[in-house]
Amino acid sequence: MRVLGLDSSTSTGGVALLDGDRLVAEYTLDVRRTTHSERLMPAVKRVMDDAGLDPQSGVDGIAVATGPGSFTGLRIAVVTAKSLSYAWRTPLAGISTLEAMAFQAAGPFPLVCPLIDARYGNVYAAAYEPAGEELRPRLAPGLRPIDEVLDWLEQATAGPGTEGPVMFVGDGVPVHWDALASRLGDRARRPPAGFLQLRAAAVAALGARRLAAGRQDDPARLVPSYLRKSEAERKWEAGNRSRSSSSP
Amino acid sequence: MESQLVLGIETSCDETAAAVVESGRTIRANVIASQIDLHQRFGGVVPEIASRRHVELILPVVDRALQEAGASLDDLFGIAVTQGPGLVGSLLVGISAAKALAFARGLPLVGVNHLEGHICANFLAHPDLDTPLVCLTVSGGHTALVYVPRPGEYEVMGTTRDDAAGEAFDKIARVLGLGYPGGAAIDRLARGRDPGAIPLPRAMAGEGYEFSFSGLKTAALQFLERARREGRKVDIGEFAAAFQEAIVDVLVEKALRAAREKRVSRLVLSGGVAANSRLRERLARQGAALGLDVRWPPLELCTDNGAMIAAAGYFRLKAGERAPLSLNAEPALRL
Ligand SMILES: [Zn+2]
Repeated sequence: MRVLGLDSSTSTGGVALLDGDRLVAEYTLDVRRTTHSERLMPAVKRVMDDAGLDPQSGVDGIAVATGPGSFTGLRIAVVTAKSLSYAWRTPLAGISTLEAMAFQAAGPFPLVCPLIDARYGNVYAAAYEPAGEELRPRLAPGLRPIDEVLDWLEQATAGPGTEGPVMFVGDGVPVHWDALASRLGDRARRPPAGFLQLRAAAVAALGARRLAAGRQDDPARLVPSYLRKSEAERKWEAGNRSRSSSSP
Repeated sequence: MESQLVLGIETSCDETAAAVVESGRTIRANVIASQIDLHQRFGGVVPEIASRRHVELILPVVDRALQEAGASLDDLFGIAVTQGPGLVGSLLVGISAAKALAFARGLPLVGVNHLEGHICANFLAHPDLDTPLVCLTVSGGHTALVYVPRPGEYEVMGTTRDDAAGEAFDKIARVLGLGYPGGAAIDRLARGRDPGAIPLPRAMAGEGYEFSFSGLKTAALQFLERARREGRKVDIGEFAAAFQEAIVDVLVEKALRAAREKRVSRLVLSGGVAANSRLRERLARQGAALGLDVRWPPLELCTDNGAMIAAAGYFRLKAGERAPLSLNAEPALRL
């Protein structure tokens, strides 16, 4: 089964083509002088061309990272993946960006903690416990202050029988490394360079697994998981709350 | 015979739209999903909310347009998509979809200027419409006077320096508590009322082809504020009529002068504000007096739609124009 993986959740964007267990092609680019909009489709074409695939015959499956991440970035990969799936009539799997990061970094560690930088001391974070083929969710994906994530991790890994290293992954790791290392000491681990940011191959691999299990998403309905409302909605709701609480 | 069907995709603001047009003139399907309800409580379009809604609607809208046209992607001659001007996040949804669809089915792709689309709505509505002509495009997003010597060639004579005409209508309507969008409500309230009872300024009338409506907006707001302070009750109908007339006066004066300067016999109107009854009535009457053939598209082609993008795109595809897969949104694209 040939599965195309797409990601543009963060400043990193990538496309990978997986054929069964074989990674046929992968293209990853993290430059800020061009946009995902300009580089994602040319990357898809390049990967297909280099693999010798006819663009009109397509692939057997498409996987896309649905977020969290940059709102605009998420929409570009998700809409591209939806539209390819629709035009090729190819099954589609939306994959959590955080889960794909954990999948990429999972190893012999009790916990994997993906972190996406959300600025102002905040991160999109989750924590998973690798269990055989599965990643068992321990901390649900969400937007939190980094300190809150660290509090949770300290508790979750400090008790007898639960102590052990935590593998961090994602673009939030270099941003908050000092805090991670000072709170967890040498229990804080990070992957080597090149494996810190999400690779599209991980998205494709998780997608292939999901599609093989018969789980797919409807291209017409797949949307990013932003994990955060728009600023206008947040302000509006805050305004409504304060109005209703101040009324007698 | 080679297919002449073009799929047009438009997501520049708060309408998710797709259409199939034959030979740039005949509409085979025109599907528009409006988001007005979503934005009403905010009193205007919220870009992030609009972008999110576009993602939900884009494929169902494209699919319905193809189904209504009885066509599949493989029956198409090409795909046209709005490249700008507009909200960048919204534009990117349509552009990402158009690029992926075109790539996956090996179809030619072109990016279209949204204003060019509005102008081309007139060619769709009036198959006998000839050039040269002058087009006045007025909506919530733009105010522009464009000279069109022939289809595909455009000379922008003037645009707005600040607010678009429709934006000014919306802002005043919001202050009056008329809801969003407010143009239709002001039009209705103003009907049959004396537009001269309240004096409001006409900015830049009589000079050049640029527009400016922020001064008018400020003057209108100050008038309301003064009345409130002095405890005077303002007749809303009279006020709406005066405000509308101040905008219409400037639009009509400049449009007629532009047609005279370019020595054209045709003046067309487009954009959401083209639905304004006072603007239509004044342009038709004063234009006829000058021997001008004045026309506008039906309402569903005045507001943002995919058919106008498909029509504009058809002429570009025919001329051999192709967009690369790196096509990007241009929020401030000029004609
Ligand atoms: Zn428009």
